Order: sequence, then C-alpha cells, then structure tokens
Amino acid sequence: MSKTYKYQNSTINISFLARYPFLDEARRYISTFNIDINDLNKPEYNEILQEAIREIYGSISEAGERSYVDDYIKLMAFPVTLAILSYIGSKPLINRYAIKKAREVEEALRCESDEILCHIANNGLNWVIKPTGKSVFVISFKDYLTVSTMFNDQSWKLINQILVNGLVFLSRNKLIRLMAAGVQKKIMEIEVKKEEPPESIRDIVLKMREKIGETVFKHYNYLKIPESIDTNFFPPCILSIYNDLMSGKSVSHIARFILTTFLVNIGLDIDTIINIFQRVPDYDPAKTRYQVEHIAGMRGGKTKYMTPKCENIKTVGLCLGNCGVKHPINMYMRKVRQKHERKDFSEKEV
Amino acid sequence: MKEKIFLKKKFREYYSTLNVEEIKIISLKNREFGFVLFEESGMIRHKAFDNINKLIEFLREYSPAHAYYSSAYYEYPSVENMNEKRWIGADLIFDVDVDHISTSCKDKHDKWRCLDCGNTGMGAEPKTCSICGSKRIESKKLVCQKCLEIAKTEITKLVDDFLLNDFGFKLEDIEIVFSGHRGYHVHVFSKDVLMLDQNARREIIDYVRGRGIDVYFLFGGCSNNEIISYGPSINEPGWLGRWSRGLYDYIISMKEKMKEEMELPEKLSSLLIKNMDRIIESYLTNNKPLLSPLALSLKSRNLKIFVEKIAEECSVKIDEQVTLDVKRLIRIPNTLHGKTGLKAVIVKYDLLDSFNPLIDAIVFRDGKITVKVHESPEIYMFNKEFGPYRDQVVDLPLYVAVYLIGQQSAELLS
Repeated sequence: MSKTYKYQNSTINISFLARYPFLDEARRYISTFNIDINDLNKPEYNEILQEAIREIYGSISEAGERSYVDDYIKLMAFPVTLAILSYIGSKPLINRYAIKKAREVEEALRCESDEILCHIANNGLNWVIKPTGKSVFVISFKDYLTVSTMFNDQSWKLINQILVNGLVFLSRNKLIRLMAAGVQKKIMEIEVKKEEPPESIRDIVLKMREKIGETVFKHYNYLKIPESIDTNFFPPCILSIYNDLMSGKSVSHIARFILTTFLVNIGLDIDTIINIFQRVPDYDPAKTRYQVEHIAGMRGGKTKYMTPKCENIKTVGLCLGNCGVKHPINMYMRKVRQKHERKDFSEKEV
Repeated sequence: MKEKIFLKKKFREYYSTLNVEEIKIISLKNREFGFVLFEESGMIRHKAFDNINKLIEFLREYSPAHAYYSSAYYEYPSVENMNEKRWIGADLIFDVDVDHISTSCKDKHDKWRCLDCGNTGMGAEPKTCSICGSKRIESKKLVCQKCLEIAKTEITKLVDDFLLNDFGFKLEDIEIVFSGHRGYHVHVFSKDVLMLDQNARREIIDYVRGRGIDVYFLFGGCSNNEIISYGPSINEPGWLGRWSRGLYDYIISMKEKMKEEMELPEKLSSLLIKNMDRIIESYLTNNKPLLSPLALSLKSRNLKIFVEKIAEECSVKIDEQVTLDVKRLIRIPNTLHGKTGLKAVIVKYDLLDSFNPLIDAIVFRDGKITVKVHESPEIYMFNKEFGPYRDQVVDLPLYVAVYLIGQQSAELLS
C-alpha cells in the first residue's frame, strides 16, 4: 500500500491513483490484489463495498460533506462501483455517475503540472499530448474528435481550433475540460450487463434498482408514452413537416423519414402514426404500414431507426432555426419536462 | 438490350487483360463488395472475396457495369444484416462531383426532363418540376472537360491545403481516383481515421466545408463592442490564415464583380468597394487586412454574414453524405464506369496537374464502329470534338461509341 514510484519530477503514489482511478496504472495496481467479485460480501471488503454504494448515491443526490475516506478504499471502490452500475443496468444512472466523476477529476487536474496532465491523458485516455510551452498543448485531431463532439458550444468545433499537421492546439484550461469529458465518456461506455448479478452483490443491486426507480428517475416516467399527438412539444422542423403533411402538401421522402422516426422514438404507437399519413395524396395503406414498421424496427434488419441529428437535418435543408439542442428528441424531452416541472410546481403551491 | 450485351462484351475484354496488380485493395477480406450488372437492374450486395484473384475472376466472369467496395471494414462482410457484419472501422472518403459545384457551362450541356409532365430544361436538374411539382426527374449530364477541370481544382485544394497541411496525412495514405464520370474520389487510408464515428466525420466535413466558423476565433483579441481593426495574418496556420487569404482573393475578384454578385448586405458591399485599395494595401504592408473602415464589431450581424461568406468561398465543395457515411460503397479504383466506359483511374498526386480524364481514362482506344446517335451535345475526347448529333448514323471511334451507348444516347445498328 505504501508503494510509490517516481514519474519525472512528481511522485505517483496511492493517493494519486485514488484521484485518477481510471488510469491504466491504477487498474494494474488494483489487479495485483486479485479481488474476486464473488467475494465482495466478505467482511474484509465491507468498507470498499460501502464506499462504492456511497459513490453511486452521491451521484444522484446532493450529498453533504463527505468524511475522510482512505485512499486505498477509494481506489479499490472504483472498479466495484462500475461493476455494480453495470449490473443495475440503468444508462441514465451510469451517465450521472460519469458526470460526477468527471467533475471531481476536472477539479483535481487543475492542480497538476503540465507534465502530469500529459501523463494522465496518455495513461488514462490513451491520448498522445505534448506541451509546447506556455501552457499550450497539442493533441492529435483523432483524439480531440473522440470527445470534442460531446460539447455543444461552437468554440469546440474543429474549425475553430488551430489545426496544423494533424495536431490541435489547446490551452491548459481547454485541455483539462477535454480530459474530464474523456473520463466521462470512458465511464459512460461501460457495458450494461444483461445477466443477473453475482450473489455477492445481488441484494445491493436489487435494492438500488428499486430505490432508484422510485426516487431519482421518477420524473422520467411522464416521458414514457404519449397517448396522442401533442404538437406543442414538437421542435419547429418536425412541426413544419407535420403541418405540411396535415395540409395535404407533398412531402419529400427524407422529411417523411424524419417525422416517422421522431414519432416512433417518442413512443407513439404504429397505428396512430400510420393515420397521419392518410392525408398524403399518394397514400397507400399497406406500403405506409410496411415503411413505418420498418423504421420502428419491426421488420427487416430489426433496427429501430433514430431520428437524424439536428446537423443532419440541417444538411438536408429542413432545419428551421437554432433551437440550441443537438437532437430533435432532446428538444421534445426538454419541452415536456418543462411543462411537467411547471405543473409540479403549481401543484405544490396549491 | 443488344447495346447492353455489346458493352458487357467490351468490358469483359478489358477485365480479361487486366493485370492483377492493377487492383490493390487494403484488407480485401474485410470489405463488402457490390456490383451492378448490365443485364439486371438493382445491385448485388454483400459479396466478399478471400483474395484478389477471386475478385478478378468475378470481374472477368460477370463484367459488371459498376463495381464497388465498402469504405468500411467488417468482421463478416458477406452477412446481409448490416448490424451482424460487425463494423471494425472505415476509411475516410471524399467525393468531389460536378453535381455539387455550380459551373457556368452546365446550362449549355446538361438537360433534364420531368417524367410526369414532360417539361424540360437546360442546366442542373431542379429538385421538383417547375410545372407539375413532380420529383421524378430524369437528367442527361455531359462529362465535360471544363467541369472536370473545376472538380480537379477543388481536389487539389482539398489534398494540399486540408489533408496534407492541416490534417497532416501522409501522401502514401491518400489515393486520388477519377470517378469515371463527373468527379474525383479521395480515399484516406490512415489508422487515425479508421475508428472515427459519424460525429467526428461530421466535424471533418464542417472543417472542409468552412461551416460553423466563429467570429471569436477569428478576432479573438477584441472586446464585444469594439470596432475590429485588423483581420488575421495570411501566414497564420489553419483556418485563420486560410480565411485571411480567402478575403484577399475575394477582394481581388471583386473588381470584376457586380455589387449584387457579392452576396453581401448592401452596406457592407459598399464599404468593401469603397475601401478596397486600402485593404489591399494593408495586406501588402502588414500581411493582414485592415478592417476598421468596415465598422464591424463582434456583435454585428453583418460580421457573421461576412465571415461565413468568405469561409464558404475558400471551402471545398464535397458531397457531404459520402464522407459522413461509414458504410458507403464506393467505386473500385481501376474498374470501368458503365455510363461512360471510362476507367476510374488512380491519379498520382504529382501528376494531378497534367491529368486529363478525357484522355487518360479512355480505355477503348482502338477501332471504329457505326452507331445511330439519337441526340448528343458536342463532346470532347482525346483532344477531338465529336458532334453535336441528332438522329444521325455516324462512324465513331470505339471509345466515343461506348460513351454514347453508356449514356443511352446511341444505339447499335443491327
């Protein structure tokens, strides 16, 4: 446990690994203890298990001040947290935890030297980063793009970077943001386990599934299935296609595809969707059903098609303005949520 | 039908003498192949080959009108369900096609016809018919030397400025191929691009198309309401310098333009015209444009329009879908194009300048044949002019006849 080693001018010790448990060297260090997931309910691992549980709860509620946790426990709890999360199997929960962890990492990175930043990027994210002096770094465009596309802000677009010879120039601040997002992505990509959890963590997983279902993600329930079409929640591009269709105008193939994928993905049932197309001049019930079912993933390749992203809707010239979202479904969810929260609020007032 | 049999026979002659070394495909086993045959409509997809000899064998046997391979690599390329193919990466592809560039000569040689009402017109085909609104529009497009020259300029810009300088790809990772029709393809075979997802490829497209450039990036040092005094230097790297050089070219070309052609807000065009000489002067002394006379601040709407207009001018007009699609089928280099009989020739980077597809991509160089031409504008192949023809029986070099038959503009005499 007291194992430390030198990296250039800094000491890498267990406290360092506990701060950055996603590092490859942290993973290797942890693996030397040979802890089997099936043994996690043994008393000697209780502290680690408890820390992992606290970590997960901490990501879904504003936890108060955390008391001191031993670095060793903190470090060992990281893979255990990920294992529990993957068995709980809730993507939104994993995302929340990823965001929380990324924030912590971002805070910590601000205190590190330029050299250590490069080391962490390389060892933890497999990026090649070089300092060019004066707190400016270069990163290969390939590594940059794996994460920069997560940001909405225009200032992160590749075109707004200095790109020379395959290298993107970044300020220290931007590099730290990018690395934190890299960590977030890395956690978000953990595999959701379909099989039942091992006996050792079974009770914990089941209890958390239940608890999480009834508390934190309760507000997602109202998003489930709209019974009818409420165009109030439609983003402008979708609304315009919908209105064109309703007024019997000729609507292009791609526009019909966008509308259908949208309606399928907000959970409308197939028959309601097919009905909308009745007004089309060239309406063919059998053909329409086939196509809608295909898009809904009930035929052919069994792929449920997602609505195209805003950028792609822009490309085909059907975008009607900057809504500030990346995806029409996000706009829909946001509008529904806003209404729901307002309702919630007014109900409380009464 | 006899025309199709004729073309197939000619294509077979080509493939039967084709040297195996001429078809080079990286990771051939992991690619999906697709073919369009002369005698059938539709595409044969999901084909896979263990080695190059089997592919050549297939080409010799079927002599397809069009032969494609996937830019993607799959674990199981021959499986029909796209998800079960197991995508393991894809090359980065760019397509510069005259169809996506406006050229002045299209009005002279391209023709379209509405299949529903019979309305016809010259130039690039409209999305919908101007009379009946139908989308069923058929077009006849000429493979024109002028248009192809313009496409080549775009390709040079793409490869030199963007792929080599900015993205730092190595020349040996880049393959430039004449499409066999009206444009060029660029394949990038770098391990840096293999795993890029669609979001990342979209960013590369926007970079090349000059889309989304930010005024804060170009004029970073200014505060919000301050009048911008200078633009970036022409020597700055990446888009900073490119934009600045683009503005210089734009101002120089303004001299021959009418105000309306500038496509800028009235006030801005007037100021630009009025201060043209001062701005050029500042380029010559400081390497950067004097912008203060334009009275623009970071917050002004006109600045955004101005910045985007110049960025558009120095962007490369690629077909975005081709680059975005990570499962695209693309013509196999050194195979023949069924609509022209021309070969999708790989063009060496240093020979790009002198490459002339209407000489260098011509395959059927020997022999003459008599055909009946229904209608054709004048075409220019092998430095000679042919046509225009209308309902004429003519004696033509084989390559011209193949081209016209491929275009369905001519038929064989029985």
